[in-house]
Amino acid sequence: MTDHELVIAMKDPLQKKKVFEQLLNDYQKPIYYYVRRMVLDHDDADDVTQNCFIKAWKALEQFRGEAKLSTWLYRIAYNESLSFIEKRKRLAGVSLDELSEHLPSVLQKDALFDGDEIELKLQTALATLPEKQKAVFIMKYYEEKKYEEIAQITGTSVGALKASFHIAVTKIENYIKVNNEW
Amino acid sequence: MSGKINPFKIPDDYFEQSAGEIFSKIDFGNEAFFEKQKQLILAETSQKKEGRSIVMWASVWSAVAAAVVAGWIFWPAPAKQLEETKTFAELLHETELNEEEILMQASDEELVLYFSNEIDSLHQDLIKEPTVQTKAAQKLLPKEKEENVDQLLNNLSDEEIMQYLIENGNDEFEIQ
Repeated sequence: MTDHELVIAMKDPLQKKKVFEQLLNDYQKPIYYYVRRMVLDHDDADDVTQNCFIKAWKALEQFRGEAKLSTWLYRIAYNESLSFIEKRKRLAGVSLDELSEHLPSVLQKDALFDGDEIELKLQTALATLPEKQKAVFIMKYYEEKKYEEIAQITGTSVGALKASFHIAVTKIENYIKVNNEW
Repeated sequence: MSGKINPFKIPDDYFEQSAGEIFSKIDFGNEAFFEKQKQLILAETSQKKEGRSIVMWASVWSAVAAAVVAGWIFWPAPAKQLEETKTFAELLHETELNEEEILMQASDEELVLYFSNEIDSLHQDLIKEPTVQTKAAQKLLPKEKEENVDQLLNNLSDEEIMQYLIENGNDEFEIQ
């Protein structure tokens, strides 16, 4: 079912559930992995992903098809992830530096993290980035999205995104160089 | 996902279970129930409307059928009567019975009535055609006004009337 067909089917209350099932089938995995890279913990990613789709369900009738359905869903996931991280930081009362300091040991203990040393360094470096910059880096580097789509998801200009990604890459490279002793 | 290494693992059947949890948190049941109810109500309303129109059309067609039946029952009767009247009139017109034969079969009273009517029509003719030159006719001519005609007729004797009839070709008649 194409996006256009989904938009038409959404208007029919009797088909709305079927549309949602299709939506979940198509986007559950990519949305989960995007959120997982943002929040790192599986249970947290699970909660955030579920919230994303519940909100998507509630807002499904408001989707006008002006953007791609995936873009719309990623925007929900982007906002939900940032809100979750902000809330977690407030509750834990930890700074980015403190988080990045403890992250390697946390990830190494995580049974659901199967990265090598390089990947561990990369995730630790990512944790030092501001959340929005991290989100841009994940979407560009891991998801390989175009700047235009990321601009729609984040509500930022393409130029600002390019600059943000460049800064993020530079920070990560510097972090790895500095922490090369791992 | 790109070709990048994915270090993040998930529990077995996670996505299936997670999808189930998402579905359990979304209240499809009520929405589906109310939507179904809505559809049923709309369908029922539509059927009622259709039902009303069927009843209306049934009423119209019943009325038309009743009118046709009534027409079939009652309409032929006057038609037959009219036809019979026409036929009777035509037959009467075509009959070979002439005035003589009718008078021969008539009773005295009928004859008196007949001649009275004849005289009435005669006077009407005289009024309309005052150029009649017969003496009786001249005598019968109204001198003043039409309303005096009846009075004049009353003054005519049988002989005068007979004289008029003889002069106008009706001399074959005999008045008893």
